[in-house]
Amino acid sequence: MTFRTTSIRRRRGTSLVETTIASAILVVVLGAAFPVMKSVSDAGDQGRTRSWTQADNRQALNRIARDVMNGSLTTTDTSGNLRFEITVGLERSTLTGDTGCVNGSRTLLTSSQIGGTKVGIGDAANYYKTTTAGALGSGTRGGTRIGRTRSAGFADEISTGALRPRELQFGSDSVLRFQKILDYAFDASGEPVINWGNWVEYRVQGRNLVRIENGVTRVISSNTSGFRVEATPANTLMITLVSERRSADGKDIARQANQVEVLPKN
Amino acid sequence: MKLLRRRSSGTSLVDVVISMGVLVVTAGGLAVSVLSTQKSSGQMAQRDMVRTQALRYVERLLGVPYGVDAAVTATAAEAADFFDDDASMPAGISLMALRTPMNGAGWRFGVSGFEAKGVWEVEINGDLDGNGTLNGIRGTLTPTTGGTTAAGDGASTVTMLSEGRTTLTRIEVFFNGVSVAKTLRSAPVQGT
Repeated sequence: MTFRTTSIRRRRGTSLVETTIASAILVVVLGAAFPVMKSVSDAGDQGRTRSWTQADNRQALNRIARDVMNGSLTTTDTSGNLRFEITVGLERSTLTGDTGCVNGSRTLLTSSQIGGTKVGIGDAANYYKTTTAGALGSGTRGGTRIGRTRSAGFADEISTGALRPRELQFGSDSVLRFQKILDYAFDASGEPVINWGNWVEYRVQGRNLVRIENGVTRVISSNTSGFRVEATPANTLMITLVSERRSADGKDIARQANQVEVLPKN
Repeated sequence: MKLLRRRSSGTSLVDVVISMGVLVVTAGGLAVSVLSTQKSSGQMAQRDMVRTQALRYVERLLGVPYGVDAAVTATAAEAADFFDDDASMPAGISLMALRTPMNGAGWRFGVSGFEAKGVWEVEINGDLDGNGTLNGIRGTLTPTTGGTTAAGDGASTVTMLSEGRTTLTRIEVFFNGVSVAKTLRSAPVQGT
């Protein structure tokens, strides 16, 4: 009898107070979880956008590098004109109005953060060197696991942070034009004669980086907001590409600057 | 009867503590996993930046004139100007002027504003395998051109004929003591 009564009491349902309390707890839990989930989702969006932007940049820079490698910075045509030129193009078109790629969420390492006992460039002090017995090579890469021990000391800094690609400020895009070597033949005297291709041009049109050859224009990268090419005295080219892309929700803009240095082989 | 009453009397403190413990362990595991993913993602990004920067140095060192054995060694200021982030470099600089001693420190420097924390070291010398000596293990194949020396046995450490020459130079870039990029460069055929 008592057993039956207990059973009936257990099935009496939930009271209004219980429901209210349970709902309140649910609201509190969801209220705490929602911002976390949203920020995770936002971070995911930003990360994806940044990855896409970076992938675009790298793909474009690889394409340009492969092209430029077949050119020459020093060769001239029969009229004495270089088969290569860099000119200043239009003013940069950016989503943010910024002529660099400074991203507030990232900070540069300062000298003090690099820290430690410093030695000047070229100074052998604080350098301990040992030739490991049986050393097969110089490092840990490329199968030479047994190598020399190098200094763990820190070194003086060179350059300035302002010259890093993402900190670099430039107002106008570059226009890069060059000819590539297609192949070569031998003339009657046996001398090789180089067969040069059409002029290839890389320039920014609107927000696209395009490649123009023989009247055909192809988009190499969208979302471009900066393209800069500099020739160095070592006959290399420093190519910087800055892209800006809105995240899927349109709230954030991912900015990415990448730079490569290429040596045209001819 | 007593047993049933106790079972229907709600959640005990022990139950709550155990539940919270399970929750904490689960949430902790999740947090560790997320942090670990973030860390490895950051490390990958840094490795990529380091490699790109190392390849810049290699390209620049392949492009600079080879120079001659008698070239005056570059000063620290000239080396800093060569390896910095801008497009300028010292006039008349050559690979031979930038050589570093065998089994000694290369050009060591930090790059201001570089995204990864660490020290660069660039070694440029005729120690082709970088082991700090001109010795190494000679392979068993007989050279088809050039010297007439017999092939090695593939095991003994002997003097390497190709090392210590001014016409063949190793360029190797290290970041925090780890080799990131390496190449060999030979002198131009016609001595320019």
